[in-house]
Amino acid sequence: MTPWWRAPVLVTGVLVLGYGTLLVLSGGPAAPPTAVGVWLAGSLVGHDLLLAPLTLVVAALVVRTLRGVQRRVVATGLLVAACLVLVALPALLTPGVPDNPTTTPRNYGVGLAVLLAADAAVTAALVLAARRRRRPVSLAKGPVRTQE
Amino acid sequence: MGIAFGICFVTGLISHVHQNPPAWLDVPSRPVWAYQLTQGLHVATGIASIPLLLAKLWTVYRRLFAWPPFPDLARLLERLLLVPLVAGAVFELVTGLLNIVQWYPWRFAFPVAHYRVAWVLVGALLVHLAVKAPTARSVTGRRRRRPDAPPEAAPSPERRAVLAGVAAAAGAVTVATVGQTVAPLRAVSLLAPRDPALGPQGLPVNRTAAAARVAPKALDPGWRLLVAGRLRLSMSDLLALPQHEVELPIACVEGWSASARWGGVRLRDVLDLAGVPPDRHITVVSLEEGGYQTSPVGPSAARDPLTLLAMRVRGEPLHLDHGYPLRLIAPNRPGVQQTKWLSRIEVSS
Repeated sequence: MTPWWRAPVLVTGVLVLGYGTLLVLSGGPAAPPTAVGVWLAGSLVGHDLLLAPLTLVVAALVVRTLRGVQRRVVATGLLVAACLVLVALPALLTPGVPDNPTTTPRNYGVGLAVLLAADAAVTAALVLAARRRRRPVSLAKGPVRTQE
Repeated sequence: MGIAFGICFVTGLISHVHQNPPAWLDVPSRPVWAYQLTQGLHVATGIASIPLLLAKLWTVYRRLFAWPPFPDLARLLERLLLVPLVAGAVFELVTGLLNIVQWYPWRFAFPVAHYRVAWVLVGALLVHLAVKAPTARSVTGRRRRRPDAPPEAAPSPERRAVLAGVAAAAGAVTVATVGQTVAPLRAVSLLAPRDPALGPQGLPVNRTAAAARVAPKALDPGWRLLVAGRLRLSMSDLLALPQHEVELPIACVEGWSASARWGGVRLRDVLDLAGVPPDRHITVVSLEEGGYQTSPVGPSAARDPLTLLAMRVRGEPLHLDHGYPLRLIAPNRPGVQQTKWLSRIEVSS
């Protein structure tokens, strides 16, 4: 079943993609295609060959050690932490703007540490709550189920 | 994901038109808060879409290794399309994030490249949506089901957890940064690249007088404002004109904004004094030499009673970093075009 909007969206998309490609290739001193191309390729490689595999390794560890609600809560906590780190990295690593103390004025290391601690605390509280919820059930209805 | 990128694209185009208006267009000067809103949304939505993009990419990542990789031509094209889609999306988010901390470790002009790649990304996204149309619909469950179709399964706990996790992460990064434009949140936005209350006279600065190398000219007692090539106004000439006070935001392209009370003369009073007809486009020219030396002002903004040639902010003479002796301040205008250290006003033919 093909939705009616498929063809017009496809045609528009091809035209816009073509226009964008021409824009990037049009170059000029403000944005030479090679300079933009390097960063485009870097974006692809940085995600697909670095960030994504790293995530899979972490995910495999979580999957192996935790189950059920706890696994889902910890996974969420890790996603929140990863995104906070990514957003903080530019502010942490920037060389800064000379003579302009109003750019990146905060202590971002402390800020990130506070936010990660809050994330860890919320995650831990939710994991404990999940454990506590399971225990009365197990007393009333027999052994604790290992799989939810 | 599509909606977030749609918001970024539309607000990005608005910002592009502000900064590169076609000659025939008179960019409206109202509503006053419009640019503050659209650019604040642009940056906040971009930041919030980081978890959306990551979750999306990670849930489909393993399909990259499906075997055989190219069973038919359609599948081959679909895979090739992922190159501009993924590269474009990551590129836009990375360059945007670095721009808001004013870090430029590349050899291109950020606004030009960010704008061009946006077209590549949106084109690839539209094609992707069209190609995936049937699957996307069955996932959202909005497709009308035939009576003999199997009942659709309720979303699994894993899928609900992914959605909840993405929502939590998007909320977290938003709260951590949005205080740079939503003032009440500035105390909790620990990762915001700007504090809207920090800077000389309680306002952040994007380009300092030192970086613009304007100090000697700006502090010269012989400074005059040249209007339309025929009128020379000294500081005391300007102070002799009717003075006005307006409350206007500085809304920066980088997503921060801060409101302040500005004092000075109305641009339209000065234009009338020089005999400039009301329908003319004008250009304001800074003492600074280089990229941000001039900015265009359409008739709508030039004649707006809120548009000032400001000499004061918060009751004090402008700090040198805020554009002493004279700067433009107008409603619904990107901060980069609120030109500082004015030297001339030119009239387009």
